[in-house]
Amino acid sequence: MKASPILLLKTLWKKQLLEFARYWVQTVGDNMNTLIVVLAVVLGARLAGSGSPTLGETLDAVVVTLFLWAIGMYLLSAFSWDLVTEANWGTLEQLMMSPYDFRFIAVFRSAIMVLLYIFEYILILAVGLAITGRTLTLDLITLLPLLLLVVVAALGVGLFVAGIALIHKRIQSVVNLLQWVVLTLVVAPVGLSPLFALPPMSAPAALIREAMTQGVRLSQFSWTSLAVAGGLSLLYFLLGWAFFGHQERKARREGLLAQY
Amino acid sequence: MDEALKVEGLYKTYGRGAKAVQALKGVSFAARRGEILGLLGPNGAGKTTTMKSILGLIEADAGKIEVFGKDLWRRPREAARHIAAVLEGNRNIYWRLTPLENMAFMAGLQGIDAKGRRKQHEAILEILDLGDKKDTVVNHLSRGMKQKVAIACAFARETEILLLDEPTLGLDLSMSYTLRRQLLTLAQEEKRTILLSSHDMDVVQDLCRRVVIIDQGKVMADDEVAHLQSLFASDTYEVLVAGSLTSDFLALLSSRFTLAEPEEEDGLTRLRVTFQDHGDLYRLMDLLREGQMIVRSLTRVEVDLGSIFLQVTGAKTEEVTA
Repeated sequence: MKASPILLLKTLWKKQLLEFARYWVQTVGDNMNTLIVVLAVVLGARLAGSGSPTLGETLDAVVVTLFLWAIGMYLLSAFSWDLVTEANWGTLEQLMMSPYDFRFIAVFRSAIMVLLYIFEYILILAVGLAITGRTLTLDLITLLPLLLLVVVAALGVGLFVAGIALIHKRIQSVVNLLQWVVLTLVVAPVGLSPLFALPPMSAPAALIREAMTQGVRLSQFSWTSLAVAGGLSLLYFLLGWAFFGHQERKARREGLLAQY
Repeated sequence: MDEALKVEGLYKTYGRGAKAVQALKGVSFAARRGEILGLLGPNGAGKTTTMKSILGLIEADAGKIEVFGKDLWRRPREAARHIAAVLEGNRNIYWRLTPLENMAFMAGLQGIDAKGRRKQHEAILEILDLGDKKDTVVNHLSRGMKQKVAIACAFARETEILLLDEPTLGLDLSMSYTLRRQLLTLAQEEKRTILLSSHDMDVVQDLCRRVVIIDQGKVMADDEVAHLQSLFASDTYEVLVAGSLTSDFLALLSSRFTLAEPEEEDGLTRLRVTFQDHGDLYRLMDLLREGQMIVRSLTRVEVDLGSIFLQVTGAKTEEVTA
């Protein structure tokens, strides 16, 4: 029997949707911190750093930057968090005992969770905008491909962190600190030095900021900057993928898989 | 091919240098198609390492694992196509989902579209007496029911081989007995080969015709339960006599036979006598008749799997195989 990726995606989608629908209060509650910040920003509170040239001055820019931070932070910790949670539930072994590569399961599930997260984000944003009567002007054709690159890079780093969690188990406190690293990466001043573009997420995040603050469209970016952003995102994803695979083999060899 | 699972010369050492622990020292056994094979061993004997090595969750240092002749050595995903397992009882399932949703999810993880399997899944739940709970969120089910859901999920993966680690752990006697009957029915109806590990000798004796006993990483016995019983059978008899025995008469009995401490209950005295030869039985009867004792019953004491297990794992240097 050939294990089809579409079937896996369908299976994971159905499960996540069922859990989301059944426990939506808890799911929204888990993301409440971020959602409150989003709501506060839209309602007029001053976000730390808003108005600075790196974050952009308009509400549009702040909302998008906040979104980048939220998604980046979420993806970075999601893998390791899920891994530890599943291990504590006793279900990690069941996921590992699948003909599907666990990395596919993890990446697909995170992609689904990101979609659900975006849904929550948009919903809370809509509430904020409806209350204040403000509107957003977003060039989605430019933003979506660049956001995808941020997500791809964040997935790679997430896999990397999960790979460490697989062997060293309790790294949640370190993961919590990562949110500040993410914020730094998202606002890294790439214009000052090309070196700032090298960390994961920085290059596509910089392009997004450029698009938001200067109104640059996707077609107006140079091929070089797009290739660097795309190439780096892909590279980080592949590095995370390979590192997790290495850690998984090590865990199987040392008998550490699922022993939490 | 009649041989469903073949494990050959499995070795595994955890750690290195002075801290190295050799968990498996050449474990070998095979399970036939449709067989429920018992895997027994004291704590730390190597049962879990053996099971997880078969599943590919642990990479053994050396050895061979074959399913229907197909080599699965260091191919965990290939192993997953053929083998499913319940390793942590009621913890192997999602408590936020219903039994049917869990089964659909586990089937999906196996690459099986659950869409056309609903009736099949319902039938499995019916056998396990969970028909009316199929749409109840697992969190609201009892421990025994959760354990059954975990077993149902393993069956939903439709693999030829199932590994069940302590499937009746924590269940009361009645629930354990019911689950055993249901497991037998499922194994027969679904035609699966099952490797069952349990500390509960009654469960193993009840379900398995053959057992593999592991101790200190080695296979100490690999045989049919009935054959092991005959190998370990002792000539011990239980004699129930009416009334009490005088101390002089007891001393006389003890001087002639190997006698356990007698027990008195409801006006009867229970004697456990081990004979050295067949003539001892007649000599005992003669002695009881001379002492004017009334014999109510005489039964040969059957050796159970628990006693065999203790003897096998106690006599570590004498490997018992047949």
